[in-house]
Amino acid sequence: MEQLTVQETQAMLIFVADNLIEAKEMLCEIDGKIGDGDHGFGIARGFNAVKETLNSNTYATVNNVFKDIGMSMLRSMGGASGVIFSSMFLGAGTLPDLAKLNTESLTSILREGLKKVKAQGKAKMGDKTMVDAYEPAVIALEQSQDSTLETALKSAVLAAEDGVRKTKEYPAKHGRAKFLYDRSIGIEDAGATTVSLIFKAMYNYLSTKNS
Amino acid sequence: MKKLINEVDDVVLESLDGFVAANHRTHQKVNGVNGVIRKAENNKKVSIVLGGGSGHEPVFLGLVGEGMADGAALGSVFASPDPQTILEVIKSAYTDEGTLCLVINYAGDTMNFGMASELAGYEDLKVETALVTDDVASAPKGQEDERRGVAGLLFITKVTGAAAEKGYSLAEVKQIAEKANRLTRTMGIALTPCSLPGSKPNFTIGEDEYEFGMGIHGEPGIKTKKLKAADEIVTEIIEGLVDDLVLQGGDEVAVLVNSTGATTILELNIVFRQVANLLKKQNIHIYDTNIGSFCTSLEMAGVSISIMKLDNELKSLYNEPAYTPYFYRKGNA
Repeated sequence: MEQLTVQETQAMLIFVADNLIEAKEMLCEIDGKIGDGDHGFGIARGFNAVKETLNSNTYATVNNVFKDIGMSMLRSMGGASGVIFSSMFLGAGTLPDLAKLNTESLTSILREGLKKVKAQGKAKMGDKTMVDAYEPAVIALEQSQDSTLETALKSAVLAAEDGVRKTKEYPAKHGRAKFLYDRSIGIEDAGATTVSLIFKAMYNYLSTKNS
Repeated sequence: MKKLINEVDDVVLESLDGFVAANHRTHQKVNGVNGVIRKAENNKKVSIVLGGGSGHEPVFLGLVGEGMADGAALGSVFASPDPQTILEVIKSAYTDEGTLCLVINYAGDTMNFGMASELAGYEDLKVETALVTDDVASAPKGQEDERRGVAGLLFITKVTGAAAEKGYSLAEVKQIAEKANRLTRTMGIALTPCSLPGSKPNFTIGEDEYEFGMGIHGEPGIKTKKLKAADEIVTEIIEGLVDDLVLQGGDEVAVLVNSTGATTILELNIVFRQVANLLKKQNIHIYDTNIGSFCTSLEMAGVSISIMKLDNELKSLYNEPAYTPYFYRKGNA
């Protein structure tokens, strides 16, 4: 079974941070259609802080890498997305120490994160939020327990991207876009897009590394 | 949009530094975070802390002052401050009487203030929260708790701050905030969008159109409508407010005509002229009026009208003196 060391996990997540920082303008543009157009700024602010933290620390466990990412985002982002996206990573704090990152451990980290996200944001599937991409991706990981991390992430990316497409069909139920009612139909959710980019960056890192 | 800034990432801190430098006798910055507190002489009162995204100036920092709020936590433009920033402001403004947080009802604000209160609880601080939900257009009647908090924050801060100054307990101050919120309504329209520093405007409004029921973050409104004369638009807003607040002849109100940024005093006075005409016809007495830029969305052109219904208690608190660099009442209780 393919596994990443703590250091490799850290390198993968620095790669994720770089990818999300690069997506800043694209995310602002999507958010601007039904939100206030600052989602990309918040995400870039968060991942810049993540990058700084990851570049200047060494970690004993995979959990600590994820936890520190969550804390960096929580301290730097603000907004609803600061609480929500940090929760995605802070779930790792509730798990026993993990020495390696593999399909099983990534699934458990992101499943815990999903619980935290749903507890904080109170969103469920179909509410046009990041949960619409995140939950299907976690389910895809759970269904890929016999696969390598790369293959499991590939199914997660497809599930997340499918979730993003589906957000177009829903009216928003949370955040500022909910006040637009049906005016939000036809536009994808920016937070869901961010989730799909996080999964995609993890996958791209592994497929490049493995090729 | 052209803006007079240095670096995009520095706008909030640099603006805060300028505010504190200008008001150094009465205000001070909170160490390490983007927050401001009053230099208080009275530490035997409940402290009032508010906060939210930047870009609404003078809200939130401009509500900090005598008889008003004691501290403000500032987020990035249009994004709630993070829990740590809020916690530091709570601690800097804290007194043994406890703290009431006034929070406008947006997801980011309620989540971050919620986490900050939780953290404050771990440090044995007494912190309560009252939500501001004055924006009529954002949810139908019956779902008032879902509504956004907008410019009505000014009135709610005024009477809540006065109650704290008069020595009300934390529970009593919270009750005043909740009552003021129940009796305050706001409706707004936008004529132009606004742009975040470093960005393009994120939507457009046609030359012959206006947005009805927008929030305060430059997001589009509930409906796009054909532009009409000021009197017709004001009539529509006032009808909505009177109806939702169930105002009747003989009621007394305070009125706020608020510019969302670019709309001029020239226009605001035209708006208020019609507000006064309409309320007079219904025998609703305007006790006091505030006209100006209080709760803005950067450079957006538009206006919101807020009405707070005054009962004897709120009226007496409204009459207490207040002074901030952007809002003051001489006090005539």
